Amino acid sequence: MPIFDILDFVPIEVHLRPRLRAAVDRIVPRDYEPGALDLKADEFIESLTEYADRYNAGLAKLPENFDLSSPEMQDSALADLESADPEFFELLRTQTIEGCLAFPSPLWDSMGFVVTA
Amino acid sequence: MSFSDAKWDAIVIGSGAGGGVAAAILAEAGMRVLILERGNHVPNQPVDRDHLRNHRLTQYGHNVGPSLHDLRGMESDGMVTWHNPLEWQYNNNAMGVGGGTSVYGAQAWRFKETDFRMASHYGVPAGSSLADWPINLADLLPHYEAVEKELGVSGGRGGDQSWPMPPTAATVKGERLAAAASRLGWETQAVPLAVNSVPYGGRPACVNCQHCVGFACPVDAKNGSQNTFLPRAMATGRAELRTGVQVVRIETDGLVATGVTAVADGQTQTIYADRVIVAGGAIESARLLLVSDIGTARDQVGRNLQGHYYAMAAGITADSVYDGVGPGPSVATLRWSHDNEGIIGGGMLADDFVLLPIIYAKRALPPGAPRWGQDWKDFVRENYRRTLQVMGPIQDIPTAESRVKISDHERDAAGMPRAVLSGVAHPESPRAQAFLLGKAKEWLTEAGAERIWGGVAGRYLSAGQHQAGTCRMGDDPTSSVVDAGGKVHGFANVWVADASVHVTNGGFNPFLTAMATARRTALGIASYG
Repeated sequence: MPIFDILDFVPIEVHLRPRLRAAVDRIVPRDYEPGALDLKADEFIESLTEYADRYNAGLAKLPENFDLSSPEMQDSALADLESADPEFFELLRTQTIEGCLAFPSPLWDSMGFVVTA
Repeated sequence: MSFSDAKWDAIVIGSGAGGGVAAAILAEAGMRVLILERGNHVPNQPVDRDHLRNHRLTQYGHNVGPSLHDLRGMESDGMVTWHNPLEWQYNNNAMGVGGGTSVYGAQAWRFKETDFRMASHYGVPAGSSLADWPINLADLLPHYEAVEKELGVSGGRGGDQSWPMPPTAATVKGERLAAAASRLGWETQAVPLAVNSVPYGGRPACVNCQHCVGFACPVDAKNGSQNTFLPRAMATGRAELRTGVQVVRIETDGLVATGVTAVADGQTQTIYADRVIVAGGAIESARLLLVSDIGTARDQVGRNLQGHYYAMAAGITADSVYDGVGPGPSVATLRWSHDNEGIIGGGMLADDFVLLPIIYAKRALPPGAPRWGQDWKDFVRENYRRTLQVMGPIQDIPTAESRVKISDHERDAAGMPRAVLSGVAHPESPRAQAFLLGKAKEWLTEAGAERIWGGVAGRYLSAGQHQAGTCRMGDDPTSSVVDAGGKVHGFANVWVADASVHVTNGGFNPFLTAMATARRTALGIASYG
């Protein structure tokens, strides 16, 4: 990889990653089946490096203790985020769902989508 | 890139639906044919099943070019914005060997007689450029029949037609919809598909997988230019296919084309030919003629750009209607194709391909459905198998202002002026869409769907994968670009052989008509050209 690519590469900031993990975990929560965190939707989002700037700006709008809050508090904070920055929330919601459904997943099985050939 | 100085009998630009047929016919007629394709080969194996980068959902990429760095302009109110191929404003079709036919849905419909006679049948609405074709169904019929046989189309018997192969697999949803249509008194038929329902053309039958439209076929049972007409052209020993080559200009001497200038790997070369056949798709073909100043004397090249407005409705049924049997489209009605009160034209309605889960989640949830959280998870698990969709293309009403132009200052990596699109659909198009949507909902209701939705779009530029009309055929050079034989008015040896020549685009998926018309054009070239 040329050096300038490394310098241009902007990851989601380390201190925001717990918020990302907690957010995807509420958008598609674990129940009797895996949720977004189990399905590594956060890693999928981190792999879309061209969106990192938007995540850094958007996740910063969640409360600092977001990842340590109760699920109810987290849902409420996500609803606040949706009101405050609907564009970012839609990105987060959409890419979390992509991370859960765009790849072979236990959710395919429970939805009833089976690849036969 | 290196081409000999020898002169080719014909250069075919583009290897998609039109270019493949034309190349095969000309090579079989004894000509030495050079096919220049901007894209590359699209492999059947290994199977590419990226649900976010394909031609059904181009979320982060696609599997058949062009480069994501390419740009087209969209002009609105005198301002041009620039868009990459993943944005709808680019109006991407596909770019690879076979064009869109390697990854298409392959619905192989013939247009009906009235589709060629829209202006005289309905009159010309104000603000539209609606016109009749200079040829009719009878002129194209032998070519439709030949292409259906040579390409391979499944469909059994239906309407006034029979196809070379029996229909592709029946589906639970198709049977449900057929029974509902029967109660409504609507005649139905299987959906003709260029997919092998039985082994055909030396290739196997469809394996009923879930990834048909938007993907290359894992067993090569989907029929397109790349596995039918192009191999036929090669089998003559007189044709050559070069990939990764972009034609940037057709060279002329007065009103005669002498060859083309092409760019590959940063190198530029002029290649000479007695005939040039343009088949790059409605946007790229028009762009190339505009850049080359061919057929432009009457300011017709690039106008009348049209695609298809779609009526699309979905509903939720009480029990599962899902069996996952691909390709999926299995029942259609032509009941609303024409002669609908107060509407110009109409369209075919059919059920859909197997929905991938991510496409379901992004596009097929009803308004008001949960958007995230446990409720969302419960909803998709409960309703994926109970979602029933019907859809169909309505016949767009063309306008002269929906068009392709070229930028006077923006150029692509090969130095070719970029395409700039402008205009919006004629108001009759969304009106017909609303009508057909109502029929789609009526069908779903009768089929037992309880919660039904689907809306009408505003007015936007309709082009995309069914793009057509930009070099339309006609007898009058003041209102058309090519004659009934596909030859550019006033030019001795330049033909257009793709959906650019469509005067109207039918209330049907248009590729079979593009192939039939290209076949007719190519046979004309072979006999007199």
